[in-house]
Formats: sequence, structure tokens, C-alpha cells
Amino acid sequence: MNALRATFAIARREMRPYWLYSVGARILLGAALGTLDTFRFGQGLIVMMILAVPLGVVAGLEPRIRDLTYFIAPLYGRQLARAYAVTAATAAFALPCAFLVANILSVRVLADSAIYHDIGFSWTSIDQSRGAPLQVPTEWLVAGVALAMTVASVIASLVGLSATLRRGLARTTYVALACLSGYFSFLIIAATAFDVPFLLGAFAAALLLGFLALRAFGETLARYDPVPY
Amino acid sequence: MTPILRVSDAHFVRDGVELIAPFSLTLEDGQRAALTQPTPNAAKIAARIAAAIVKPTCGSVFISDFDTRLQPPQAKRLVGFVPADGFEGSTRTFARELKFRAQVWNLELATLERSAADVLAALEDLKLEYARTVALALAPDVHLIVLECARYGVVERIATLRPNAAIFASSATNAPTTHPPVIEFAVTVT
Repeated sequence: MNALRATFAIARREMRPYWLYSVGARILLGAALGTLDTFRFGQGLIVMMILAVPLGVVAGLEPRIRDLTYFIAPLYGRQLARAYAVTAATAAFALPCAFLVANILSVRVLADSAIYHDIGFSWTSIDQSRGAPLQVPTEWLVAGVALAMTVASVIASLVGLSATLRRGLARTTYVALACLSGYFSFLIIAATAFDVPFLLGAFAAALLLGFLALRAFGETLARYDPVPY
Repeated sequence: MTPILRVSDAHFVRDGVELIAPFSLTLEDGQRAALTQPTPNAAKIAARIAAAIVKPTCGSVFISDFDTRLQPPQAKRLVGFVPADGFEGSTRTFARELKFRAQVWNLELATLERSAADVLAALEDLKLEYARTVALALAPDVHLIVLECARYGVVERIATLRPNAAIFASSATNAPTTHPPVIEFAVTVT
């Protein structure tokens, strides 16, 4: 109970005005892209797919990890890591989720005039077990991509957290690694999207990646010495 | 009785440069010690080693029975750490900081606020920013108070406020002469 209380106290402290502006900007961008996509399929979706992961990494770089207050506090590294993860993941969620909500709402509002209805059920795949074409509504495709990007950007933010305690080349390498792990998570989810057992496996693999990144970050925090430069 | 602070041959090396030469000391409740370092950074590191914030490269530091390398949260719970920089922020920010500490330290907010108010009232002639930093450190019930780059006269004031707590202060020899680090060496530091 105490650990949870401390974790949320740190997360709340990190959700300072700068963080709120950052999340607000992500929500606005996501909403704009989601609405834009309703008029021209792909225009917003592709931009969102490109931006979600780097913005997820930026979300991981935002917490004030070197703040001495946290090192004075009687906390384990893993507790600190969890608190930063809550802050970073919440910010990383913002863009893909805002995109998805704006997209769903704008399609509903525009009804028949929405371009998605003109495209119709054009996305098909072969259901291997039955040999019959599996039809996927475009709205589902967009929602699926947005959900996969949400997972990918959260994974990217969790890996990105480890860059905060590093400098120079190591930091750049971690940022690149975070981007790669985000896109990799998206790819494995997208590649298995039409096969439920594989899809669940892909989600599990992505979550495992995030868990390992968070654990490694917790270990790094536990070993870190806040020494003045 | 277990000493509240036991430092044995602790030293700190970074990038192959020895920033803190090995030092040892033992402090019991109510005792005071000061450690002078050649630079403010070294003084800060020494204080952070004694407060379980930084792990020494070699040697050991025990706060009560807790090894700061293995049980830092338990050790930190007994320490009130006074950073060199003052608390910059409004009264509202200070109140929010107290609330934050009550949640993280798992203490009752009302007790913490009352304790901080008492310390602030006793240190009203100090600069408000620094008095707030001291109040934050002393608000929980601590057994060891560690001052990073201690300011002139503060150790004596804290000793009056918390006579039973042990005090460890670090200072730098090249500190500004307007605030000379004149601190009583109650315990021999080797």
C-alpha cells in the first residue's frame, strides 16, 4: 500500500504544467490527424504511425529523473522506475488514443459523407483455417493500427526512460533503440493481426519487451549515484 | 548501543579520479562531525555518501544497522538530508512538497506540517529558502541529519532543535569567505 501511495505521489509530482502542455499538444495533434484521416484515408493515419513512436520516446525522456528529492526519499529503484513509467506511458498514450477517438467521432458525425464508407470493406485477408476471405472494415483497420501504435509508443517510452540517465553516445544509442523497439512492436502486432493466437503472442512479446525495459531502468536507477558535475 | 553512522574507509572515484579520499568515522546520537573537502562538489559527494544517496566506490557506510549499499530505503528513513541549495518555490509549493513527502515517507501530513512549522519558526532569521530546506529535512522524525556544504551557524541551530540527533556536515575549503564553514569537530574524522 505504501509503495503504491509513493508511486502515485511521484507520478503526480511529475505531471507538472510542462507535462500537461506536452500531453495537451499530443492530444491536439492526434485529434487533428484523426479528423484529417476521415476526409482522406491515410493522410492522418500515416503521419500518426510515423510520429507516435518518436513522441513516445520523447515522453520517456521528459521526467526529471535527476531531481535529488527522489534520491533522498526512502524508495527502491523499482518504485521510482514504476512512477516514471506511469508518467511516460500516460504521455505516450495521448497521441494514438486522441487519434482513435477523434477518428471514431468524426466518422460518426460525418456518417455517409465520410470517406471510409466510400472505401467500404476493401481490406481482406484469407482465413487460413476456412480458406474464405476475411473482410475487415476500414474503421476496424484504423482502430487496430491506432491500438497497435498505442502499444508501440508505450514500449518506446519505457525503453526511452533508460536514456535519461545516460549522456553522449550511450544516450543517442538508447533513443535509437527505443525507436526501433517501438516500430518492432508495431510490426509484430501488424504482421500477426489476422490470427488471434499469434496476435496475442505478439502483444505478449511487446509487453515483455516493455517489462524488461522497465526492469532494466529500475536496476539502473538503483545503481545510479546522483553526483554533481 | 549501535552508532547511528559508521563510515569505514569510504572513498569515491569517478572516471579514474579520486574525488573523495578514504575517510572513516563513527557517530552516535547527539554527536556532531564535520568533513572538509577541497571543492564544493567533493563536499556534496561526501555528504551524499553519509546520507545513503551515493554509494562509496570502496569502503562501507552503515546507518544504524542498515548497510547503505544493500538497504538504502531503510537507511534513508533515518536521515534528514539538507541539500546545499535552498528550496526555491512559493509557500504553496512548499505545502505541496510537504504533502508529497508525507505520501512518500508514509507519514501523517498534519504531524509533518506541524513539525515543519516549528522548525521554520525557530529558524526565522535564516534566509527563507534555506530555512525551508532545513524544515523539509527535519520534519520527519530523523536520527541523523546530514548537511551538504553546511552554511554558517546552521549546525548549532539544528543541534539546538534536535539535540538527540547526530549531525554530519560537509563543507568546502574554497567556500565563499562570507559564510566560513566554522563547525565544531566533536568527533575525529580520519
